[in-house]
Amino acid sequence: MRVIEIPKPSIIFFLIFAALPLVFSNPYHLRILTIIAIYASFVYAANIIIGESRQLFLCMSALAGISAYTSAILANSYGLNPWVTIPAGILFSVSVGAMLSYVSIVRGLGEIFVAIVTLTFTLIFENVVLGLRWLTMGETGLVTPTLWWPFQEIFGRRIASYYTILLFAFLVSMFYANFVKSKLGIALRAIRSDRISAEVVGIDVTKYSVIAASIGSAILAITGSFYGYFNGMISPGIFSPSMDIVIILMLLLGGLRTLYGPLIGSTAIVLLLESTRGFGQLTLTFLGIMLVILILTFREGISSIAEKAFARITSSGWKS
Amino acid sequence: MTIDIASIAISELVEVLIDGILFGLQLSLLAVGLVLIFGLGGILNLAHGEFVIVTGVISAVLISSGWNPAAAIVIGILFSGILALALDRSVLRPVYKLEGEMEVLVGLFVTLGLAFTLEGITSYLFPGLYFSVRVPVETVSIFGLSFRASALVSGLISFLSLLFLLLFLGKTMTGKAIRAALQNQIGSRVCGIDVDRMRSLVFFLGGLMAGLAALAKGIASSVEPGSGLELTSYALIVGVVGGVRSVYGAMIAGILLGIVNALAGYLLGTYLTLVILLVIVVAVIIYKPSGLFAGGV
Repeated sequence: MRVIEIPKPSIIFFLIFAALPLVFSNPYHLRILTIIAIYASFVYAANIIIGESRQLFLCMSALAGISAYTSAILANSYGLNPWVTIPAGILFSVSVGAMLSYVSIVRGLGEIFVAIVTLTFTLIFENVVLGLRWLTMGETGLVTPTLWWPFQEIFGRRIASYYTILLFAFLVSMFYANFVKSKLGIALRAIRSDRISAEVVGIDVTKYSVIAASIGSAILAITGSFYGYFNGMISPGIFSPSMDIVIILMLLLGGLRTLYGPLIGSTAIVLLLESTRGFGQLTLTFLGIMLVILILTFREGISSIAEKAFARITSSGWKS
Repeated sequence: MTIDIASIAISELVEVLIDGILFGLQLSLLAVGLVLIFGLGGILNLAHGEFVIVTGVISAVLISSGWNPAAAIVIGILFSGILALALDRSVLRPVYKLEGEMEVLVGLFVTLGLAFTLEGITSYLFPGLYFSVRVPVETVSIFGLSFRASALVSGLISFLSLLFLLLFLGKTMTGKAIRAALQNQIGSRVCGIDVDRMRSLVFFLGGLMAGLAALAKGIASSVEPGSGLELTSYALIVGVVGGVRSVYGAMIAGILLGIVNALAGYLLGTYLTLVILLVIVVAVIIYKPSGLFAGGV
C-alpha cells in the first residue's frame, strides 16, 4: 500500500493558524481567520478543477451555493439536523459539477466555451435563487439553522467553528498533496500535456476529467455549507460571480498547480480585502488591477517563485 | 364577442412583438461591438459593458455641469471609442503575442480585470449617478396600436447605428479590409492589409458601438455605474447565440432574443425571462458551439 504523504511545511502552516486564536482572540480577527480557511479550501478545489484538469469552471460560487442552499432549506423545512442535510447538498452540487464537466467534454467545448457555459450557469443559479423568493428569501438572504460544531460546549461556537473549518482545510491540503501523485493526478498531468497522446495510450479523458470536476465540486460543496452555517445566513450576494474571480485571483497569486499556492493566495487576498474595506467600491478596482498585472506578468505565482529562491539558497549552502 | 377578444389578443401580441424587436435592436447594438472585437482581436472583451457605462457616466457628468446634451453625448461616445483604442494599444498588446487558446484565455482574464477596475472606479466616483435621456412624447399610436415613444426612438437609433456599421463594413475600402482581416488574418497580411491597424480600428469602432448602445439604453431606460458586467453578459448571450465571430449573426440573434424576451415576459412574467434566455444560450453552446447564424462575417 502506498504511504500517505504529509508535507511538513503544510503542517507548520496549519499549526501556525491553529495557534493564531491565542493571540488574535477577538471575534473580528477570528472571523477573518475562518474566512481565510474557507477560501483556502475553495482555492484547492479550483486548483484541482482549473489547475490539474484544465476545465475553466466559472461556476465555483454556484456549486458552493447550491450545496449551502440545499442543506439549509432541507434543514429549515423538515426540522432536520444540518449534519444530515449537508450530504444532500454535496450530492446535488457534485451531480451538477459532474454533469457540466461531462457535457462540455463530450461536446468537445474549448476552454473558452466551458468558461461561458459555466458563467451562464452561475447567472442562472443567481436568478433562480432571486426568483424563488418563497423558498430562498430572495435578495434578503436565508437565515441558516444552527449547526452543532464539535466541542462547541467547551470552547464556544466561534472557536469550535474555526477549528472545524481549519481542520477541513488541512485535510483538503493533505488530500491535494497525495492527489497529484496518485494514478488520477498522473493521468490528469498526461491529459494536460498532450490530450491526444494520452487518449492513444488509453487514458479515458472523459472519466478522469469528470472525476476531477466531481472531487472539486465536493470540496466546494462542503466548504460552501460550512460557510453558510458559520455566517448565519446565505444570500445570492455571497455566492455571486465575483466570488469566482476572488478564488481565481488567489489561485493565480499563490501559484497554479502548487501545494502552498492556495494557502498563500487566500491569506494574502483575504487580508488585502479586509484592509481595503474602507475604500468601498474601489476594492473592485484593486482586484481588477491585480488580476491584470498577475495574468500579464507572473503566471507562476508566489509559491513557485519562493520555491525557486529557496532552492537557490539551499543549493548555494551545500556548495560552500 | 369572441372575435373581439381574439382581435384584442392579436393586437396586443403585435405590440409585444414590436416591443421585442425594438429591444432586440438594442441588444444587437450592444453585441456587435463585442463580436467585432472578438473576431479580429481574438479577445472576448469582458469589459465591453463598461464601455457603455463610461459613455453614460461622461455624458451625465457633462450634462449636469451645464453642457449641451447633444454635445455631451457625442463626447461621451467618442470617449468610449478612445478608451477602447487606448486599451488595445496598451494592456492588450502583450496578449496578441500569445497564441491560440492561451491568447483567448489571457485576453479573457485581462479584460475581466479591466472590467472590475472600471466598475470600481465609476461606482466609487459617481455613486447614484445615472444617464437617461427623456423623450418629450409619452406614447405614440400607429394603426391603433400604442407604443412608448422612448422605445421607438431608442430602436430607431439602434437601427441607424447598425445600418451605419453595415454600410461601413460593406461599402468602404477600410470596411472591406476589416472583413478580409476577420476572415483570414494571414491572407490579408499577404495582400498588404495592416492587420494591427485594422485591429485598433475595430476596437475604436467597438467602443463607438458601445457608446451608441449607451445612448439607446439611456433613451429607453437608464445607464448607471455598477451594471457593466450585466450588460456584458447580455452582449455575450447575443454574441454566442449568433456565432461569436459573426456581425450579421449578432444582429439577427439580438432581434430574435429581443422577441423571445418580450414574449416570455408577456406570457410568463419577468423573473423567468432571464432564466429562459440563459438556458437558450447554454443549449445553443452545447448543440452548436459555432452559433446559430455563423457563416458570413
